[in-house]
Amino acid sequence: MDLTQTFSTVFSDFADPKKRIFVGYLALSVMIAFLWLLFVKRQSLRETFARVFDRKVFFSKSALADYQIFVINRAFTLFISPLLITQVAIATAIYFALHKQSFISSGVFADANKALVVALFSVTLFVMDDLTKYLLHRWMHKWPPLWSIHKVHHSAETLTPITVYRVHPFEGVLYGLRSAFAQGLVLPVFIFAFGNTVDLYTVVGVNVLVFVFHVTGSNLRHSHINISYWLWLERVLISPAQHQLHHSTAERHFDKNFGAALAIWDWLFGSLHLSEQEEELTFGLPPEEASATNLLDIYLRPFSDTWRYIKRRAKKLFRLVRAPQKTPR
Amino acid sequence: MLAEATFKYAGSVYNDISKMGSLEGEELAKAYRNYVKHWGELKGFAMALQTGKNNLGKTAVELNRLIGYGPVTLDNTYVTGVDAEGNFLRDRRMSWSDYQLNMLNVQKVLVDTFGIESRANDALADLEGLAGKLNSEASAETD
Repeated sequence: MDLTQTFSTVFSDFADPKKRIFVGYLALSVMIAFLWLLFVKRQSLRETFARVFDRKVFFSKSALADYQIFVINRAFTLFISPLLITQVAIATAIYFALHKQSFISSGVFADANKALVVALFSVTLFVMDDLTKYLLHRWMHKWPPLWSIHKVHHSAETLTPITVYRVHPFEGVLYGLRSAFAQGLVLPVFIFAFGNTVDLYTVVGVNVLVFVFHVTGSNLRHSHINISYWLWLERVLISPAQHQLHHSTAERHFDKNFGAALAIWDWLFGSLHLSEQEEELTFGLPPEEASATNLLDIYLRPFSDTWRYIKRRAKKLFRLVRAPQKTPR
Repeated sequence: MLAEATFKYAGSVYNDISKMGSLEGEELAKAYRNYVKHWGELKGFAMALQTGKNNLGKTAVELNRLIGYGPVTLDNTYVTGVDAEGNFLRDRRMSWSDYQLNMLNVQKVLVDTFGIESRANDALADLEGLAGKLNSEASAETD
């Protein structure tokens, strides 16, 4: 591949309206940040400019690591994604299995109102995607082997829109599988029930609800502009401030706000934390947990962490198996 | 060519069964006639595939089992054999869903064996088409 081809493959996401970092969404996010600082925080134009384009944030060592990881991960995605199970394979298997059930038959609601079916499908997909993201994210914080992988993302000390790409390749794999299962489940169920009336409401090729998510500043979740919503809204939608809180080093902010777009799951399952006023948050992890800048450590530590975890568990198991006589009666 | 025709008629039969689910009376009778007609074509082409110069082996057995000696009829019975006096025996029942599943599997077997490129009446077309629309390539958007 020549240089221009390589360049366009690596940076193709910026030109893709299906991706969060599409230049259009980035521009809108900058605009929203400006409007927030100018009109809600009532800062001057010069202050706003300096705050939004803060060099200390975009050129911090941690942010530079983000950019490097962004490029390196592209190589991983190119190799790994063809090997993953696709949602078509899962959908086909479930579609076949649905036919085996004797109490339902295909196409029962095939004459339903098209607009209704398409709306229901678009919403269900969005909600399922968001729910599975919440569940996987929560699991990644709870189970040590997964945390060792997810640490890479939380080791960021400054947040920029590129930080969303600061993930270990294994996390990318897990999220890819999650997406395959979530969509592979919703798709055949709808097609079985509604036949060919099923379709997706899209704008610029992406689910309309995802489009709204991006257009209303999804990039600002990973930024230093702590935009918060009205408190009642923060129980439904995750504001940028809420997500920044999730990255915060303060202990009272640990294991909160796992949600991607919807805060409903956090509200339902008790992990909601509403945004706090005028709080200058610090991000990152202690150096003994993860490195913010050392790329080798970032990519390889999950292996050593997981190995240590396995050894600990194995030792516990052996102790249990080997010494039952020593317990007092 | 024959494989493609078989594929197409398996899809037709699948669609016919779906249509019959919600019909009654005269409309049902008409739809049933279409269904049986398409089944005839399906069986014809499937048999033609097996009388060619290539021995299809396992595929032939599979196709015959899935399609059966006769279509599933309106009371869910289907032909399982012939008795001593030459009458057709219809002593087993199969649900419409199961027979539709057989049609899906016929299409799958044909694609696996013959690698059919142009697929008419592909019962999985909706599924695959819509799956293509969904954005699910390995995305980095985890958060």
